[in-house]
Amino acid sequence: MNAPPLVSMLVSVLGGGAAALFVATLGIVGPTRVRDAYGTFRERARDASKYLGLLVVVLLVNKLARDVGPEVSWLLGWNVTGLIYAVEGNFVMHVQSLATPTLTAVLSAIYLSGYVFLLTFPFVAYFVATDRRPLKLTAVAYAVNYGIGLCCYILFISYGPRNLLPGQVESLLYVTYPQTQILTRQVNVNTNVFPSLHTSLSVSAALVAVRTYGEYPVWALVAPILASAVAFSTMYLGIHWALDVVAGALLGVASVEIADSVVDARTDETSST
Amino acid sequence: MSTSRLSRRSLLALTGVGLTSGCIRQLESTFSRDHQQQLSFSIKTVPADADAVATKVARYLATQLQRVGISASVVPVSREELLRSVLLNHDFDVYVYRFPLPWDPDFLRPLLHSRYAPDVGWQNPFGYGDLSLDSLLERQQTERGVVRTSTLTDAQHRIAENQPFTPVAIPHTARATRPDRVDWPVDEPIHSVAAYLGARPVETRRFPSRVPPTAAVGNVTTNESTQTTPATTDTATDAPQATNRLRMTMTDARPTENLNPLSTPFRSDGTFIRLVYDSLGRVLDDEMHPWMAASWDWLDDDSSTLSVRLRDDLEWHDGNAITAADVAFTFRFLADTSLGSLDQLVPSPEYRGRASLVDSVSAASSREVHLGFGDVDEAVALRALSVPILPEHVWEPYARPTSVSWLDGGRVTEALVRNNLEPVGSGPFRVTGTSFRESLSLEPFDAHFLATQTLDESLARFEGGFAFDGLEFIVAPSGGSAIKLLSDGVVDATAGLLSSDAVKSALATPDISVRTGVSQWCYHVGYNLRKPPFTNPRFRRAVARLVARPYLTESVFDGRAYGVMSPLATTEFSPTGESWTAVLDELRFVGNHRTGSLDTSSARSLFEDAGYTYSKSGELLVQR
Repeated sequence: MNAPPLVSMLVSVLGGGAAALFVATLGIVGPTRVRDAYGTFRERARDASKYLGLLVVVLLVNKLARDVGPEVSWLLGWNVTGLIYAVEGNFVMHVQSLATPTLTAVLSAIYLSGYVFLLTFPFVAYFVATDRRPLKLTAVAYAVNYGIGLCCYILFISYGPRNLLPGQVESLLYVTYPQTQILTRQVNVNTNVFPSLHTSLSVSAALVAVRTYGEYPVWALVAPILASAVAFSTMYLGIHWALDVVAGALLGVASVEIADSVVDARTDETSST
Repeated sequence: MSTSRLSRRSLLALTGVGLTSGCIRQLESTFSRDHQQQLSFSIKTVPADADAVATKVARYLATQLQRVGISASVVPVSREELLRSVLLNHDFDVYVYRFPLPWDPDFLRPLLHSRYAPDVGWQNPFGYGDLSLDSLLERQQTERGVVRTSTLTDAQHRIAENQPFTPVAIPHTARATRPDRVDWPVDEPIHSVAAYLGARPVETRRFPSRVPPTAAVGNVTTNESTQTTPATTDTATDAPQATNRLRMTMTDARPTENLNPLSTPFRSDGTFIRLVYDSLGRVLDDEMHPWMAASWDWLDDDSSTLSVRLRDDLEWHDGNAITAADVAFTFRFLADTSLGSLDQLVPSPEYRGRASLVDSVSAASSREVHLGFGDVDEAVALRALSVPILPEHVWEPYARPTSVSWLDGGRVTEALVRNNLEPVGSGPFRVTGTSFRESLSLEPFDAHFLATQTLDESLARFEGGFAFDGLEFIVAPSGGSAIKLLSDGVVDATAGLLSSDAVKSALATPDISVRTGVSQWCYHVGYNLRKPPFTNPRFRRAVARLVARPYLTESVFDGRAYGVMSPLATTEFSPTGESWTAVLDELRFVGNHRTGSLDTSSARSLFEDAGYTYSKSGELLVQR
C-alpha cells in the first residue's frame, strides 16, 4: 500500500546506482576484459561461492535481526547518544554550516546512489578480474562489517545528531527529499547510528580498490574519493555523528584486515588438501 | 549513604585507639566528610523523529541547567521506552514529554494523589506526596459547580507552589487533509472516532475520468476538479469500489506493534483503541453520552449505584454476543488483571484512575449492570463509563502471570503485556491486518449498533455509518514524508500531529489544507521525587524558574501553543485573581522570558537559597 512511493524511490536510487554501474563497467572494466573472462564464469562463481554465500547468510541474519535487534538493545543496550554529544559537541552543526542547495542535492545523491554504486561495482569488476582474491576479500569484508555492525547496534543505542539536536542540526536529506525517509526506514532503524555502516562499507570497498590499483587504476582513484564523500555526506545530511564516522572508518579497515586473514586461511586450507 | 558514613566513622574510631583523641577528632572530621561533587542528572525525552518539540524543550532545559552549574544531559529514548522507564519502572531523574488531558479535571487525582505514588502508569509517576493536596483532590470528586471550581483552584495553587512537575505548554493540534478527496465533519478533530464516522468521500474521487470537465460551477473554490455531484449515485453501482478506502498516515508506528488497550508503553491518546473497542459511554461535545449503553439511571438518591442498560443485540467482532457479564468482567479485570490468581492485585495502569471510581460491579441481568460508586459526584462518576469494554472469553485466559514471571517476581500478568494484534472488540471498526511498523488496516464492523440500530439524538449524526470500505493507517516516518504522501495522493489525511515545519510545507503545497484543533496534551517537565535533589521543593521551584514559556511557545512551538502554569489553564477551571498571580510571580522566569535569555547570577542565587553551594569554578555542588 505504501508501495508506489517506495517503488519510485527504489527505482530512482537503484537506477542512479545502476546507471553508474553500467558506465563504470564499460569504462573501467571494459568489454575486452568481460569477453576474456567469459568462458570461466561458472568456474569463477564456484571458486568464490563460499565467500559470497557467507555474505548472503550474514545479510539474511542482519535482515531478521533488524526487527528484533532494537527491542533487544532497549533491554541490554547502552545509550551512548549523550556521551557522543559530550565528546564531539556541535561538530555536525559546523559541517552543516557549509550547506547549499546544490551541495545538498549532490551529497544526497552520493549518500543514496553513489553508495549503492560504490558497494556493488566491486562485485562486477572483481568477478572478471585476473586476480580472484579481491572478490573473496570484498565479500568477506562486507560480511564482517555487517556482523560487527549488528553487534554494535545491539550493544549501543544511539540516535543521530538530527534526532538529538533538532533546530541546530537539520535533517537535510529528509527535509529536502521527504520521500527518501520512506525508503531508508525500510533498511535503517534510527537508533542504529554507531558506527556508521555507510562509512565502514565504503572504506572497506575503497581499501580493496586501492589494492587492486594494478588492475583497475581508475577505480583505485575513484573509490577512495567516493568513499570520503559518502562518509562526509552522512554528517552533512545530519544522519551521523563524527564519532560514528570515525568508528565506521576503523571498522572498515578492521574488516578488510579480518577478511584478509579469513581468505588466507581458506586458501591455505584448500591448497594443503 | 548514612550507613557507610557511620561505618567509616566507627572504623576511624576503632583504629584511633591509642592515638591522642585530639588528633583523632581532627582526622575524623577530615575523612568522614563526604566530598562534594557537581550535581549531574539526565533528562529523558523522545528523539526528534518522534517529537521534535519535546526534544527541543529538553535541550533548552539542559542548556539552562548547565548555565546554573548543573551537569544536565539529554537522553533520547523511544516513546515506548520513555513510557516504560517513567511510568512503569520510575527509572528517571527528569523527563520532558506530554501527558494526555482528559475532559474532566479529576485526572489530577490519580496523577498526584499520594495513594498512587507506589502505583504505575499515569498514576503519580513523580512519587509526589502531599496530604493537603490529597484531601483537595478527594474533595473535588464529591463536589460540583463553583464549590468544585474553588477546590480545584486551591489544588492548582498547591500544585504550582510545590511543582511536582512543571507544566510548559499545551499545543494546538494540526493535521493535513486533501479537501478534494475527503469531507471531514467540521466540529470534530481529525483522528477521532467521530471524525472517521463522519468523513465522506468527495464524489469526484471515485470517478476521476468520468466527470466531464465542462461543468465548471464557479462558486465552489477548492480547485479545478471541484464538481457538483448529480446522478453519481446511479453510476456508483457499476463503478469499481475496491479502492474506496480512507487512507491516513501516522508518524507513531506503535499501533502496528501492539493494540493491547491495557499496555501503557504503547498507548497514547486512545483513538485507535476507541475505534476497535466500545465503551459504555463516550464523551461527545464535552459530555458523556450513552454509547454501548442504551441508557443509565441512578438507582437511589445517594448517587451511589448506577444502573446501566446495554443496547440490544450487541456483538463482539468474533460474532459472540455481548452481555452484562462482559461489562462486569471488564471492571473486575481492570481492578485486578490477575483476577485473584496472584497474591496481590495487579490493576491495569492504563485505566487505574477511572476504574478506581467503581467500588462494586454486578450483572443484574443479561442486559443490565449495576456499578457501585464511592463518595463521588455524578459527573465524576461518569468518567468510569469511558473505559473500553473487553470480552471475557478472550481476556480471561490471560489473567495469569507472564511466562517470564521468574524474571520479575510474577507481578505482571499476560493481559498487561500481550500484543493483541488481532483485537476482538465491539467497536465500529475491526482490525483486518497489521504490518510491523508499516501499516494498520481496519474495516467497518457491519454488526455494530451504529450500523444496525436506530439512534437517538446524540448519536444520530453517525447514522449511515462509515462511508468507506476500509480505513488504513500508513506509517510515515516524519511530517515531511507524510505531506509528500499526501501530495502524491497516496493518502487522504494525516492522523498524527504535524510539527510546525510540516505545517508550513503542507500550507505551501497545492491541494492540501491544514486543520488545527483543540489540544489534548500538556508538555511538561516531570521530576522523580523519589530521589534527591528532586525531593526538595525549593530545588524544583528553582528549576521551574528556568523555563521561559513565551520564548518556548514562540520559538519551539512556533506560536502554536499556550504556555501554561497549570494543566487546567485552558479549561473553565483555570484559576484567576490576585492570589494566583502571586503564585505565578514566584515562579516567574529569571531573565527575559521573551528572548529566553537567563539572568544567570539571579538564577544561581535561587539555587543557593534552596540550600546548595557553588564551587569556585561555578559548579553546583551536592554531597555525595
